Amino acid sequence: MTQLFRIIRRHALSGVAMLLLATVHLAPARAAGTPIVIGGTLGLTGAFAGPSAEYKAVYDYWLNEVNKKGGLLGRPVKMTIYNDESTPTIAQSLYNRLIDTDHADLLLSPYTTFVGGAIVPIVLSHHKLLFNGGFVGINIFRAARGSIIGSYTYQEPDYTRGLFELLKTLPEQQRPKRVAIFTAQNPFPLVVRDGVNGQGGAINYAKAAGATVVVNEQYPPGTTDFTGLVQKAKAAHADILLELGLPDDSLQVARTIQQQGYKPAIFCVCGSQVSTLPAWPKLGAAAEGVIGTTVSWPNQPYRDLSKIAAFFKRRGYETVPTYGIVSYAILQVLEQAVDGAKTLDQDKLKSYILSHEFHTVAGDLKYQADGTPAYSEIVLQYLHGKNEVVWPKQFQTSKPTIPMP
Amino acid sequence: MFALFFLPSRHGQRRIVGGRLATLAIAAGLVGYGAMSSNLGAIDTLGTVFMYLVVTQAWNILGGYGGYLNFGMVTYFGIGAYASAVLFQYFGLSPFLTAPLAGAAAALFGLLIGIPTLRLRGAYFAVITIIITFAVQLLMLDLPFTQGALGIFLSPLAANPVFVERLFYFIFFALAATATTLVFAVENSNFGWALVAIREDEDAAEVIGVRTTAVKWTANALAAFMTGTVGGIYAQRILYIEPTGTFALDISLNVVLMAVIGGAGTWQGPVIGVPLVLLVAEALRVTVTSEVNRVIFSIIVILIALFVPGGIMGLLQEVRRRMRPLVRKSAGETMPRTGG
Repeated sequence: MTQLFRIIRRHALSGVAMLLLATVHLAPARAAGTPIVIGGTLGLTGAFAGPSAEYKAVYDYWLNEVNKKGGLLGRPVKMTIYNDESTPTIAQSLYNRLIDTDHADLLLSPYTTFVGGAIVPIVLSHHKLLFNGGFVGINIFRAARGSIIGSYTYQEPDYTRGLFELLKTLPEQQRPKRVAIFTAQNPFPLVVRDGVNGQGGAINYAKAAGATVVVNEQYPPGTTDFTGLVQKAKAAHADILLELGLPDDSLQVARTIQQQGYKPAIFCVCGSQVSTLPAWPKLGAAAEGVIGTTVSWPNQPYRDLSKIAAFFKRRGYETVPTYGIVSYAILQVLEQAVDGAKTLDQDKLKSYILSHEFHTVAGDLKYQADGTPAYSEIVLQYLHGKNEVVWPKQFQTSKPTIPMP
Repeated sequence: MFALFFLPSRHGQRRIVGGRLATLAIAAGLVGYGAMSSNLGAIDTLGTVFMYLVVTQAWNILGGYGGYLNFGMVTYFGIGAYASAVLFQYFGLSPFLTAPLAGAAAALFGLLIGIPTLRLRGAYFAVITIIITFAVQLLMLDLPFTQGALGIFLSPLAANPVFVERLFYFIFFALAATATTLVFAVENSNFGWALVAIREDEDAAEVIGVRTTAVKWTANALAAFMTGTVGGIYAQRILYIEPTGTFALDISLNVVLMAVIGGAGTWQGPVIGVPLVLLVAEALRVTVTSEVNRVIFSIIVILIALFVPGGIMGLLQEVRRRMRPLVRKSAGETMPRTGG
């Protein structure tokens, strides 16, 4: 009886052992050890709640993917994202907490320059890198000397560069020449307009293209009535209208233009692109022919771009919002940098990033010394109810319609 | 519960001494914590608590004692921040040195703006304070020397992060202690009584000889000075100021919320309300979501408005009033003491 029991037990144990081996073999790679903590904040409530919620969705998506693949450096990845309530002082306090209490190994930036600019000194004073898919700010990047790693492929001075490159492709006699510029009183659009140290900026690009700026007006934050500005541009016979603002005011300018019956040859919403592109369908006819810009487009052969487009389609977006691209791209850079450098040491990561190429949804990114990727941009025009790529030519999905319909 | 020690007592000398000792012990504890702790998150949060305590105490002078609801404290705060930042930008002067000048600039503005606005009462005064905030914000967007919407960057201090956070912790702590002492002095002065008289019935106060305009004017300028000074230091702490964030209405609303929850019109109110609101918000922020803390505070404010108009201090005073006969009974007192 005892012997029979031993035989059964031996076979049962062998069976269990084989089952365990099979399970280990068949299971996906599973990370072990102390989690790598990635920390950051987003304005999940307050003025920037809309885009911030989408950033969070992308972060969660990436986190799930990366942990399925076995984490980073063989360790699971944990993400601690606090709500900064779209407020700089709260963000500052939370970044101190992330660094000091949560011991975050890697830091992600918050959304928007307004909040992001305030936490940069804290992050840099701890000799940490800031992985920044949240904001542009060429001056902030330059001051950080490569310690802020960005994923926006064009900074404020170059926001209108693509548009004026597109203009150069038109025959000389067809090029519009009189420019009206509306600029929101916000740090970012002002640099889009003026450039930095005489470089870039809509005014400089317009002059270089042989155009004259006939209207150059600023408007305060929260402006909802643009009738006066639009009338001024119309009276000045401006045939290029550049709206350099934030999403809400840009959409309002588009509505006003249609209401006032003003038809410039080109109307470019060349300010914040983060959430405007997916909003055009809601404007109906007022959006027809409007030009905008973004970082990349699903017809480009960039890693995982179709996957992220499908992700946003499931979330109800026909057009991938720009923040969806840059938020995923910065995590791809982070992932490839940690995998490539095989360390979390911030100095080694910085050296690695500045000397390697990263394959992301925003493109194959090569970094400049200031931590910004080399320039690339997509110019879109909203035609027949959808966004079409009109520049650069190799990625065109439609010829530009100028004058706009 | 330590707030019980702050309750003013007309009869219990022992309680006054106990209250002062408790206050000193808490202050010593905070100094010790600031000096010993290297928990940056906590030091930073407490620094913010002290900063708001100054502004809330400043609001308390005219808003709490005088009954003039000012929803525009951020105007003085922003003017102070800009005064410091502009002096740094054009003259290279450190905001640590120019903070009193920032306070003076805000006080001057408070004096000027007080001439027309302090003639208004009730809701009209409350509304005009909000309008002034927006007007000054627009001015900062358009004035060339403020660099408009681009804002002004200040240089970070060349020191390690723990030292920097400690420095702001102690500066704000010192300012908060000074502001609280000042408000305590106001509460126990003729000036304070004049403000209370204005709050209770301004016309009657004027009839009995209170120089209401001068009292309100002084209170407003004093509040502006305190707030402007702390705004000047804030500029050096945040290192980048621009009109939208610096003049955010949220700051004004938070100040009123903290004073009302703690108990407006008492020097202890802000001491209770500010840490309560900020520390609970911080705790909720890192544990649950921030939407929850907004809902919680909204419910608290509604409950306070309905049942405890005097805030937590009002509630504590009510509890003590009800307990007094029981205490006397247990002490064998049959007649109220008449002093002497």
